[in-house]
Amino acid sequence: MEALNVHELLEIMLRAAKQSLEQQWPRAQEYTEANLKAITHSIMEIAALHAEQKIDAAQAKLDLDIAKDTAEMTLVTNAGLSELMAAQAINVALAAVRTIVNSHIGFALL
Amino acid sequence: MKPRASKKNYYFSILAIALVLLTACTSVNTATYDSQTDQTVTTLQLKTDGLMSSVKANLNTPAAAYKNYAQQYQAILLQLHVLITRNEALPYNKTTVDQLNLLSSSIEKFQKRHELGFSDARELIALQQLVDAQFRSILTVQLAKPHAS
Repeated sequence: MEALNVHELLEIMLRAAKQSLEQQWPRAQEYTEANLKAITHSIMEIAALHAEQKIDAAQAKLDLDIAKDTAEMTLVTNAGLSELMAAQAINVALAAVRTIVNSHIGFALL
Repeated sequence: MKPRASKKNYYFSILAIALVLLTACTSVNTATYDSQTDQTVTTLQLKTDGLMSSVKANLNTPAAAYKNYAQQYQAILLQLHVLITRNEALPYNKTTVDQLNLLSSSIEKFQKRHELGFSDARELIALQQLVDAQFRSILTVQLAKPHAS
């Protein structure tokens, strides 16, 4: 069986994450890369331990399920951060026009 | 005296309405930073990291047996459950609730894995990195939340 290549795996995961995050990638890049590196290294280690027969299939499955939870956590986190940033941008935009709008209509609408 | 008091009440009413409008209409609702969640997540990370490091230090000795750690798992999972309940009660907080549920699920899996027995430190290091990444994710979102005004 061909050995897993850590750089190749990480490259594939980063490419997929970058495509999925599109315009949000520059902001999410540092956090996503750090997490994907941890996930990739862990998957490599689990695969190596299984190949060396130091862990059995049931043990490897539990380990990989924790890696999957971590990958899902990365997605949930990126979505949550995007939502928070969007809300913050809207609130800053509203605050920027508050004085103009309120003075124009004569009462505190915004 | 009476008309003057009535005028004062009128201005108070206007002021109250303006304040309500100001607070209700000027911002998009979003989850706010919760210091208790921040502190509890940090405490839980210390406990979980401590447990994993202890298993690693005792590896391949009777001290690393699951039964010696069962109570610690129970305490961590209980504290996490209480934290999930608190976060479910906070408005617009789905992201943090989802994150805490994933963390809880991972710690339960680690507990099951421990029951099967560890023999190699590399496996523990790999799992510790994954769980650390999860804690980091939860704190990243918590620290990005605006503080309540």
